Amino acid sequence: MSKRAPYPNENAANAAEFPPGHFTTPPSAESQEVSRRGFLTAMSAAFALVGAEGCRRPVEKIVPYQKMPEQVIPGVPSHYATVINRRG
Amino acid sequence: MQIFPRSLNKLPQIAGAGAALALPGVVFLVWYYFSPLYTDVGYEPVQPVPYSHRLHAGQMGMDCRYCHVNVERSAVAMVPPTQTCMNCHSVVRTQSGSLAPIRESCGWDGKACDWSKGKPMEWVRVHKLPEYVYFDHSVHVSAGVGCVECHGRVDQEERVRQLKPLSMGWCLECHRDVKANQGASQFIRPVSQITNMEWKREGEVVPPRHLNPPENCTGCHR
Repeated sequence: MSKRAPYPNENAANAAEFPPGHFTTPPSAESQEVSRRGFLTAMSAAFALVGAEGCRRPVEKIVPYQKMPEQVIPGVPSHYATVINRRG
Repeated sequence: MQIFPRSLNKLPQIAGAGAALALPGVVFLVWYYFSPLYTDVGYEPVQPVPYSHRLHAGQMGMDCRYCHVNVERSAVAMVPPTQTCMNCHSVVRTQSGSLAPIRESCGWDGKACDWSKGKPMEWVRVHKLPEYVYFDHSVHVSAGVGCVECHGRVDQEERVRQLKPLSMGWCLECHRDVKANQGASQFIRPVSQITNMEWKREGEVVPPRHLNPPENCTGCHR
């Protein structure tokens, strides 16, 4: 039998806030089991939702300016003449 | 012992005949129902404010470019800022309930706008080209393609609606016609008449330049 290494905080002082047995009790087999029927139900529901998502036309919003700044033309980049002083 | 009965000997022929009949049906279904003419034409979303183009552009005769200012300068025609609405609606119909989102957007306090308090409007886009298409409004407008050619009679619409398919075949139809016929093409009008929805052709138009609309892939899919 392999001996499980202790979790990092298992013996630490703050482990006291967990109930006793928290670190040593493995999850029960029943709680992890997914029935074949349950799995197929979830899978078919997921596929149906994916299909429904594709049928919808995505709604795209246009959000214009509220108060338009001067000398800005949406769609046209603004260029500025800048000056660098060299040897000056 | 035979597993399959004798009557199944004809199955391949029957299946083949069925496929031959079904294939044109499938082709037709995809051809028609998957095309932008079916999926996109007639798209008429509800807008946050029931702005009527029929009232503003039709009955009152406002030019398209009063709101869509930069259509001649930029790739996008531009949806106007709230400020453009409030140019008039700070005085006209200031109590209107349907204009409440506009007043909220400008931070209306009953007398004037307080721009720091409002938020931009969120209109719903109607005419949408795919992201892989380059389209520039300014070059079309300056060539003499009127608004009505792609957007239809917006001046008669209560709510904006997509009237043309905006598909690639539809684009190329116009590009080919204009390249071949220049000013004689049915899609070209004098640049002074681009926003005139009721303009009638009388003979040939002199285009502003030699029109050379791209017909190759990279013209639009750049």
